[in-house]
Amino acid sequence: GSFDGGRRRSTQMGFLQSVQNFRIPKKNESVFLEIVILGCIYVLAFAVRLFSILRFESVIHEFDPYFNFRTTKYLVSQGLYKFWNWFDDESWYPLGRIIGGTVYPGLMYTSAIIFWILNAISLNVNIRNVCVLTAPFFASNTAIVTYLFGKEIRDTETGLVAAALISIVPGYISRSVAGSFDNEGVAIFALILTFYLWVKSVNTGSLFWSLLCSLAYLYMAAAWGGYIFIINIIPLYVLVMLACGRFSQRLYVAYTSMYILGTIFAMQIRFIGFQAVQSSEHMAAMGVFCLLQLVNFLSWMRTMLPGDHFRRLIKLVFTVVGSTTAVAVAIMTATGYISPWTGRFYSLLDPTYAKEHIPIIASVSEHQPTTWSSFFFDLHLLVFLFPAGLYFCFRKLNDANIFAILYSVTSVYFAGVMVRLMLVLAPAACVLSAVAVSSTLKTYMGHLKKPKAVAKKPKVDNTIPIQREIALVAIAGLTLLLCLYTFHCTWVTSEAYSSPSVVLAAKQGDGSRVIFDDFREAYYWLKMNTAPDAKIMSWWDYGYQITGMGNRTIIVDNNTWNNTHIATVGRAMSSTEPDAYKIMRMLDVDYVLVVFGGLTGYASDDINKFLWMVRIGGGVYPVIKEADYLTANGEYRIDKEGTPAMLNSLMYKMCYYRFGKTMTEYGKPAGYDRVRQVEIGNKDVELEYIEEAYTTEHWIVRIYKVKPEENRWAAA
Amino acid sequence: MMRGAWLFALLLPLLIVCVFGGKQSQQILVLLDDEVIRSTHSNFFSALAERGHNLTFKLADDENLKIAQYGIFLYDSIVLFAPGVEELGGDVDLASILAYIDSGHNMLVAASPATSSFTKELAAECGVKIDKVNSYVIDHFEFDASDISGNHTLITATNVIMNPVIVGSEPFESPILFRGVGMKKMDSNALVTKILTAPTTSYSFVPDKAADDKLLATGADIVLMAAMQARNNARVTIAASLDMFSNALLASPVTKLNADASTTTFSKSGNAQFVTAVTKWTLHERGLLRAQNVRYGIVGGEEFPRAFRVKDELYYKVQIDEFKDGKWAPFAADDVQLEFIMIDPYQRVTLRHDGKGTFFTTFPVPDVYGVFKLDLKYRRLGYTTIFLSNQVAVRPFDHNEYERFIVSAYPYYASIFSMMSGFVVFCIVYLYSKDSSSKASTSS
Repeated sequence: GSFDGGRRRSTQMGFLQSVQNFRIPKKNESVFLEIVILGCIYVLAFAVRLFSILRFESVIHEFDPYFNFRTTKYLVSQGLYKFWNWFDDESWYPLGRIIGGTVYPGLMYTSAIIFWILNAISLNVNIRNVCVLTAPFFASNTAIVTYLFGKEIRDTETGLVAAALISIVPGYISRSVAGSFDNEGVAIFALILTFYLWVKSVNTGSLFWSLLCSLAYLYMAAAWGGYIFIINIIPLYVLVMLACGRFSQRLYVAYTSMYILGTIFAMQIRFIGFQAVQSSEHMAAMGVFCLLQLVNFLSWMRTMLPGDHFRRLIKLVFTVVGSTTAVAVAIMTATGYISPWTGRFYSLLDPTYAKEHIPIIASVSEHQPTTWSSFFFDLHLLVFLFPAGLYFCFRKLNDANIFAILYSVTSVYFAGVMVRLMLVLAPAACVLSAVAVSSTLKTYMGHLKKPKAVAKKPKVDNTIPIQREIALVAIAGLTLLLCLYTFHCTWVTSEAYSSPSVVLAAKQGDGSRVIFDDFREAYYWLKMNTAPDAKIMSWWDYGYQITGMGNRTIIVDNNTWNNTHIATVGRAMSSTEPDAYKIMRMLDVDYVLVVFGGLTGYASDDINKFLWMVRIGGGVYPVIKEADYLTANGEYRIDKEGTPAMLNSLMYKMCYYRFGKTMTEYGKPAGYDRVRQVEIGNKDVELEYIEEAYTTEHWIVRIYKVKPEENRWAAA
Repeated sequence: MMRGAWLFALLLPLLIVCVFGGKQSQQILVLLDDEVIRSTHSNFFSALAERGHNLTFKLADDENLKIAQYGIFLYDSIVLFAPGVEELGGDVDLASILAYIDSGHNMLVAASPATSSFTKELAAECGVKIDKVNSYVIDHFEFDASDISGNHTLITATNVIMNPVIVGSEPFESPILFRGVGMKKMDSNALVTKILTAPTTSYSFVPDKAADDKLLATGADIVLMAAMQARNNARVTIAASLDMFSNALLASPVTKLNADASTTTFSKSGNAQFVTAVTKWTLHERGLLRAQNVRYGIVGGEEFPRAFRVKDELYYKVQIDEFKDGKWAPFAADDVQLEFIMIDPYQRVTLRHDGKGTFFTTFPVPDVYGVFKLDLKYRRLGYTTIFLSNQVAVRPFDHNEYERFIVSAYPYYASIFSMMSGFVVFCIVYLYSKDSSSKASTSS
């Protein structure tokens, strides 16, 4: 395709004279430009994600990445087979966890392979640095793949704009800054790659592209649980195509080969295994596969049979197939051959489901429904360009565009249900916005062009006056908006998404930055001062970090596979000291770790999470009742008005031990909690069954040792 | 890391037993509240010294008294024969005495009708309640005829605990003479054992006064001698009478008045036999068990594996010895049990032994993966507690540990290979056969 506008701009920007004199053939020129632009985007996408390294250091962020980091280290040091069979006795004590069979290993394999390659060519990099930079590297690759996707859906210009947009879109940056070593980092790349190859294989009807598509699907399935999205949206797309009467042999080849190969590939991932053919989430794909066979068969029969025979055949086929399918599904569901839908899936379909039934899902902040502001925060300009893109797609409907429309519409829905799925929407929004931007620019740039040879048919209608001026205004406006988008993205990246969250930073009154490194301080203390087989109890959020950095056994962690075990910990935290002691003895707990922000004003601490512990604990053990922890008015209070159950719970005591005598803020009484902005209600906390072992510099992490049983006393 | 863990778990109980147990010649501190006791109880003390112990006599309120120096305790055991002392001398107080017990040392404590609040608090910390000042255990039926005061405070006790480890296996021919205060076991402490209890007809009150209904205890509820064996195996024996250790009562004959006014006379009281037995037990000269050399592994396979696999056959061996007559000898018992625990016990097996002190068993690892503990907890009255805990991981099958070819799957293998060959044949036929119909259609 041509890229006149771009070329014009680049010459205007004033290359060196020698470069201007150097003229390459016109077709090659645009290819050269494409490469340069893509190269810039490639570098930009990587560079914009490095804020966190420059501000802090090359460190793994947040919670889940610590698990990924730990498993990657294990993979690199122990090899593939050990990793495959890894039974981890350090987490979920005493249940343990079969890591090899319960992870999506794509991320670990990816970074391990990068590590091995780099070391094989004598670039001796540290595995940590590889892990820290994996996500930015894949963000660059995503930009390239988005370019291909856009190109496949519309044209080269769209691809280039889409690549530029996605390289800095905050919704994606939030999961791919340097240090954010999470599945999503590589999964979005795999997602777009799969979609690109899918559209390509539908467009070409070639087995080759379908095979590549299923390989990309394998990578996606290996990397992230979100592969479910692919295996449902593609059948949906096929259904829509059938409904539109767009059934073709290309579609048939693409889908059947992709479904069969993709499913066989996905089954190779241990965590998926037979789910790929048994679980409800995958049934739609299988159903569509069967339907497609039927449709193909019937369309072939149509050419063979006279009209009325064919209609009779259709009737017969529909009744037979319909009833047998219904019966088969009913039987298989009843016998449990098809597993029921998981809670997370339900909460996708019905956003209120989790809130009512599964507190453990509802308690995760990234599973909350998305607010309008976060749509704008994460997408900015794309929120407005996105519908325009939809419009342009509808205007020029083809197989590829229908896929783009479907992908974007479904992802808008999912992004609305769960904050986390903003990640899936971001690429869709970029691609559709790119359609809008490139279509608009192309239209108006055409007006700017001076009419060339008279022999050529003029593309634009020259009858409207001042169209050059209108075009100029439109282009200037769009450029301004895109500039604003750039500024917004950079600002969001630097301010909101580049904090490692294991190291906290705050601005002091005089503008200088103060660093709270309490988490690592505490984990290091655990590593150096406790027995190697010591068991640490904490709320599950910190599990991965304790095993990752402290190298100690923990009771529950962020992989929330066993609700009962988490509920037991929740119950211990919300019980009184003697009751909690029994639970802790049962679980062989040596130390208890709590996160407390009352001194510094760190808001996401355990007191603020406490109601979730009560809810989750109460969900399994009805002795814990949420109402006991709330005042008569249903308020959650920690001051004098707090309920006795609240003020005497283990969590409260551990957080506020010695706090009653501490001055936190000028002009406030001792024991003033800076997060809740109140004076605490139980100022002289005394501990009987546990003792303080360590409290970090800013009191963010407090560690308590569980005392051994009374030496001279045993309850009869 | 796992190896370190088992080594640690294995050595810890061993260390405790080796350091504090089975020491034949001990440094014993005897605290008295009156220098006279040294002569009135000389037989008891010389018996201790004859057994090889090194006795240091100090007045309890000696201002130079110290039981620890530079954080190390100076004595292996303490005999506290100072019921009346209100405060110990030097910087020794109740807390330091309790710390002494909690670090695994033994004590023999004697109370009397003039027991001070210090001794009472010490007893209370160990789960024994001592009656009011000036009260005695009184029995108007089971008393020694030599008690002519009419108060009947010199009683004859025969309710000795039936436990050969604590009081020896020889039966008591004569009753034990007792003159002292009443005590009661606090029911909330399961670690306290009643060694000697009062006759059923006795009560504890101030003599010469009419008893009201606020008695501490009556009959067999009155404890004359109690012992508390702490979790760390420290033994604290509390005698309600200082007199029962005295030369007078150790050697005294006993004359009991029978119901028909006749008398039964024993030439020598049972005190010497009883006191000797109990002191031996208290000072860890008897009733010690030690477990060592724990070995476990897969039968016919690795010892101390990194992890067991589900359904492995696990063996467990341990050497248990008993300290008897001044030396360690193999222990024999048929009730030593081993538990395989992950929150709940999945296996509880009784260990067999070979008569040479080696206890062993084998059992199949349950088909459940997780982190298990091999717990051997042996608590028997009179003996020190054995508690061994070894953490082992149980992993599921590795990918290459399953059966490779299963007979029942042969139809599937057959179908796969027939399918593959059929496909090849189909391809050949499809690719290399002439399509007559299409040819016909193109020609027409």
